[in-house]
Amino acid sequence: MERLLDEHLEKLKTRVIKMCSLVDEQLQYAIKSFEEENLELAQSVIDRDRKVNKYDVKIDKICQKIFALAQPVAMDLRYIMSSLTINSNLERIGDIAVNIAENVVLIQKKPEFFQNTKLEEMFNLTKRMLKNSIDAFIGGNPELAKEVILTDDVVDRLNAENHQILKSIMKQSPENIEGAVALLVISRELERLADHSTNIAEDVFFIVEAQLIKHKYEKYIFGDEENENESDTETDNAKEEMNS
Amino acid sequence: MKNKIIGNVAIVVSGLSTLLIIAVLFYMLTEIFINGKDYLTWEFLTQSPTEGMTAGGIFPAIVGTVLLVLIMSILGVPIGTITALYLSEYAKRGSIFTKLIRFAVNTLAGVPSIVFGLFGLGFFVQFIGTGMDKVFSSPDQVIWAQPSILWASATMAFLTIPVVIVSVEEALRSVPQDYRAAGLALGATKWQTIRKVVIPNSISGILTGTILAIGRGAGEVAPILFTGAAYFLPNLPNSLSDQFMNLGYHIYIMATQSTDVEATKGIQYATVSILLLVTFTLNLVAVLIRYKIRKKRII
Amino acid sequence: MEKKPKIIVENLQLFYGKKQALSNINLTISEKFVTALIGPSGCGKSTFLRTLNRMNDLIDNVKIEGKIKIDGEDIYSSDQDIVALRKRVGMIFQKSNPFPKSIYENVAFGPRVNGINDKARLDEIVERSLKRSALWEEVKDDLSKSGLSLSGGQQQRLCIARALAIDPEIILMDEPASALDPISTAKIEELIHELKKMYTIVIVTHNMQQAARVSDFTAFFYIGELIEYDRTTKIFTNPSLKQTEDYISGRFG
Repeated sequence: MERLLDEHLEKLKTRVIKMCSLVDEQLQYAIKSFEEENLELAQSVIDRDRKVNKYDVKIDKICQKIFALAQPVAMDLRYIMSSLTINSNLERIGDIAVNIAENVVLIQKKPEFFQNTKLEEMFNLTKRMLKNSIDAFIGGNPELAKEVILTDDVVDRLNAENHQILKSIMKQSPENIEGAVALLVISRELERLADHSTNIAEDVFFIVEAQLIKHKYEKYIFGDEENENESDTETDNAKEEMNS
Repeated sequence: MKNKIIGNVAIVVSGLSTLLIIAVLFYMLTEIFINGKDYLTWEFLTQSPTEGMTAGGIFPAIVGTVLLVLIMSILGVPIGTITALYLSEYAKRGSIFTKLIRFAVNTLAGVPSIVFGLFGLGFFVQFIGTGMDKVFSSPDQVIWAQPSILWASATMAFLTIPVVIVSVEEALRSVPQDYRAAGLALGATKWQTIRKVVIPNSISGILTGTILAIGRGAGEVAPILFTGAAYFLPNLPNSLSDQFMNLGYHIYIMATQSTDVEATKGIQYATVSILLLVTFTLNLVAVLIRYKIRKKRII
Repeated sequence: MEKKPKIIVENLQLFYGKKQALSNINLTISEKFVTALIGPSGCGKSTFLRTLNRMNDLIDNVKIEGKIKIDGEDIYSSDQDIVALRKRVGMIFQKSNPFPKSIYENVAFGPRVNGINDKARLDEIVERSLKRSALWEEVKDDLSKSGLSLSGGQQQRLCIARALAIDPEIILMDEPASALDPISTAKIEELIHELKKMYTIVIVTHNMQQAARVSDFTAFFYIGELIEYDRTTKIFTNPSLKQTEDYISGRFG
């Protein structure tokens, strides 16, 4: 049966998908502009952020409309709730892409010690994480989402290593401070970007399996045997009862 | 266009029919009243007939008619009401027993009144009356095995029971099922629900039925021909085993068998007027009571 | 609040003649909670509701198998006093049906039937019941007015007061607000929220949002079977069966 809600949901999905591809592109171009030292490309990324913000608002609005008018339940409800959080994560990722682009404009040339850092690896990993988290969301694929979540630790580690490397470069050759700081900033931004991608991946679990897995990785990601039989929603409900 | 003509023709035809009916009724009433008005005096209503029914009043006939109606109602209305109650509230739809009762009621409603009279004679006067005499009277004494106001009333009661049943049942059926459900859901037994909710709600219907029955009873003559009515009695009835005079019967005898039909003509018309007045009044009372009850929405 | 079983339904089957209207119903209704029965038209939810106070007995040709235990006793056992049962399990109907009597007499009907005729006691019961059904303030100035002179929402609250007057333990409501405007509906829903502190409530509703707003537990019926029964929050955020999800999301029915 075609519901009125389905029309709204279609509209929402279309917008979210557009937002996804927009932000994905922003990241690609920002990284590319750094690798190719392409200032024009970097500037276009900065300019395009307006469009990202516009989509952000559009998505918020349609979610609000659906909540008010259609009282969605169950999976519809979870999808719309997640659309809101994913939207906000994507918007932050968009900002990160812009920050990277701004740093490109600032330093204009790749520092020579770029190869000594782990940034190249981080670029590849974060691009892949974002793409996979978006695919997992659109395809409803918890397996893919799980991969994204597991990759986050690697990115964290790479970021920590970059910190060490760049700190020692700054100590040894103070004339390179400007470049080193720029790379440090980019590294941190990429680490945050990985976190946002991870958030998106967590929401995939929420939609598909109705499980809120944040802060509960032992059970859902690492398959902790002890906790597996305990139903999550039961625990939530019991807590709810105690508080009411 | 054709429809419009048909419509107009229908209106004209129904209008004419109505006028015809009213005209006939009017004619009847006028003829009766005009011919009888000279005799409609207070004495007429309060004195016994004299000089072979050619003079005097019809007081005993009025009394007899009223007594008949009263006793008939006391006998017939409760039986009819209880039967209607059973049929409406308790009887299993479609069971053989229920079908039997309904068949009996419908048949009874269609029996000609003279047949009732014969039944009354054979059953009440000769059968039950004889039995009662055997038990209660001294030998050779005939008290019950003869026409009396009791047997006439009993016969009339049977005549009017179908009318009572139909009216009461209709009244009971018109009580919404919702009320019964509500009563039962509150833990009342079926009888409590009926007593406290259904019956109070159908009183106006019960009353209507009763008074329609009375109206019919006041005018029927055939059933009382052999069972208790008399043309001239020196006294008013003292006990249930006495005979009685009756307006309808009086008119019949006067018009066909009295010694001097012509001389009593005026009295006949006057008696008819009184009978019509009594019937009309009873119906009016019914309508008024029902109106008052319907106005109040509380019972 | 801890769940205590009040009504336990075991393997309930119900037949109208040859047609089976309820199949294999197994359900436990908890004390002093609100349980909602939802499902598309004709799914048997009202029929099921009526088995709980044996109002189905009034229909010819109804046959019932299985057990319904209230506080451990099977109400379909042959020595069950039906009249006593209906004093413990009250019912509110879809179309409000106050008697054509005064407001006072409507509420006093039940106690009178139970033999209470002392005016002072009746006055107290009437006042208490009307207060509990949130109608007292609106009618206290003239209790002799006809029950039928009230508005639709007020009539329904009068029926609730009438049911409360016999002090039941369980209240069954068959779509109590379906004939009412939104404000009256909201009042009834608030009332249910208050009443559940003292009574176990089972409510049939075709309005899913109402079930979501008002109930603690929800049972989803479909073609005479109980499809899913769980906490309302679970049913509306993450039902276990796709059929339930489809129904509550409006994909059928």
